[in-house]
Amino acid sequence: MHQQPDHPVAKVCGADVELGNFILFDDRVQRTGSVAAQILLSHVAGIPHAAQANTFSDNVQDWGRKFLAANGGCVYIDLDHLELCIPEVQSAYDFVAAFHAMLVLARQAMDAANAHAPKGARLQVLVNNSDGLGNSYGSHLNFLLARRTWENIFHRKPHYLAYLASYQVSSIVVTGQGKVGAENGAPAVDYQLSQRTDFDMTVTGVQTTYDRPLVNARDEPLCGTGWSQTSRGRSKTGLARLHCIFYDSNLCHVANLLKCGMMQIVLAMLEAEWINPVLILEDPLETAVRFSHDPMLRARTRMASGKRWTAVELQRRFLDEARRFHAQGGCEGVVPRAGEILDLQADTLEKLHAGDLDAVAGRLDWVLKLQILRRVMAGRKNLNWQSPEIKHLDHLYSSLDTDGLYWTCDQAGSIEHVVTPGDIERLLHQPPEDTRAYTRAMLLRLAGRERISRVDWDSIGFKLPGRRGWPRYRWLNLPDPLGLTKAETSHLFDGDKTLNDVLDALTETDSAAHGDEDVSTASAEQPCEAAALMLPAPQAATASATHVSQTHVATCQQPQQEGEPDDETS
Amino acid sequence: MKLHERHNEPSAHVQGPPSGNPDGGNLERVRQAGEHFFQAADDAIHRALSGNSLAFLQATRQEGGQ
Repeated sequence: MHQQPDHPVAKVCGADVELGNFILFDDRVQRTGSVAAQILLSHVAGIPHAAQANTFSDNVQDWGRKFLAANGGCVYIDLDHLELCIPEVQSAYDFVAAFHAMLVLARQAMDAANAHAPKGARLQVLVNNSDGLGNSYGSHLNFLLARRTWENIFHRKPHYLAYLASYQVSSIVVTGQGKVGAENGAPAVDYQLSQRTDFDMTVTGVQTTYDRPLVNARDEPLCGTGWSQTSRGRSKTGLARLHCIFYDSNLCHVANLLKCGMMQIVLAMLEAEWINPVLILEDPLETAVRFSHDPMLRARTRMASGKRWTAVELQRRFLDEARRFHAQGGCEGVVPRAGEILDLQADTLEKLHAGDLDAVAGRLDWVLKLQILRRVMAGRKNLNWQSPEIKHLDHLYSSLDTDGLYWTCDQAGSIEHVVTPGDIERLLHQPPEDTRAYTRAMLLRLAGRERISRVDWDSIGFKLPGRRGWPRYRWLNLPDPLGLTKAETSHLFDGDKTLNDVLDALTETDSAAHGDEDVSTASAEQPCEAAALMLPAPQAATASATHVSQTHVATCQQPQQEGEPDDETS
Repeated sequence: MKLHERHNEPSAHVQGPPSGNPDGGNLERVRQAGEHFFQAADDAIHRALSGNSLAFLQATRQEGGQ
């Protein structure tokens, strides 16, 4: 299915989550982030992004990337952090389940590593976003947008950008994980809501590792090129991806659900050009720190309209807008279970507004952590907010090990769940059924590592047995995150079809579905040309001559290696 | 564009400060609720407080990140 750019598109969501990872050696202090990440990744079973030696990516981070045949997500190392990427989901409820499924995977890797750890050493994994020493790492969300909405936010309508920034900044009353102290030159504080806001230095920008922006402008669609060639020339069209780097990792189900679900709704509103400029902050950067440094939720900030509101008051007004939008059918087909999400948001904000923190301690990480730390200090008069032991517990809140305070509370029944253990288990072992992740996972299973040459979010390269000793390369593009769902392709994987059969069928399906020259899907030349460049000249000539353009499946051939089966020659 | 600007803000929301907070009159109730969490996490907390927190905090140092 391809969405036309003027239509609202389902707010498909992904996430790429960097973990804090290090090794404790008794009391010796060493910098171990890099080696810890490598050890963790070695214990994750997956198919390498560049499974064949001649298809290395030019992006170093991709070299170790492993895609997961189980659920269609992937795991890799990003700047010394193990990074978990959930498969694309449509529902915020599936987002919560997929997020926790990936944490199960990380915990399994950690446990496997620690089973072989030398005496006195233990690998630790924290699901947080800052080390307390001035280094931050992200928990990014990704949302599918119509290209036109992207253009409105970043290039045409600055109040859209300001509106989105206002929403995000005030939403930390729900989404913060909580943090002891301040970093990165921010004013000193005992405890704050968000782990990330100390690191937000500008309103927008493409950068993610320095001077981090509230609203990231990185234009990397991962859903086709975002461009198309028409009779009128090259033009922007189709789909885009909003790469949101603002938020903390959440462990509480409700906070995670509302973080994803409310962003889906707000983005759907922007897509429908439904915006209330009264809700725009006068200074979102200053307000982010002001709100984050105020766990009493009393701080007011100045709006561009001159009004002065607290974060909760501003969030309630965003909620009012969202409810009206929903009542008029704005979320239909765009945000699954939007009504439930709005009800839960309303109830949570109402409790925060009433100052009833104990009622939301099982919902919001920053509240749960705050309550634990306050109780510890109340029972030990020698401890205060500046004590190393309190910062230690701050970190241990999100530890994946047996000392993790969140999971201890969860096992005690103190956490309000929105998905079941069965939901999490399902998305650990099965892909989401309503996005392209389904077909990605099924193809990875069918092909196996030996017949995959390269995998990315919107494409898969296959290395198949060819004629006269030459392997046959085929390339499948998956440009539409909403395409090739279980409903569309499961019949291809039910029987005994070969990989070639399935790829042939997918080509036919795609050709029938996308006859319009305006859809920006076909990019078959690129991988073949890239492969050809890595071959000796005679083989490159063959590859260039045999590739098929303007279809989702391209082919080219290389000499077959010894011992490879020849059972799928076509 | 559907511009939904309100000239008269609704008065549905109380503009005053929250009616309760963990350091205000609500404190006892918060303490009771916190007790439940505290008991659940007590073992993990005790282990953490028995270790070398300074060494742990230094070991957590990460190199960069997005």
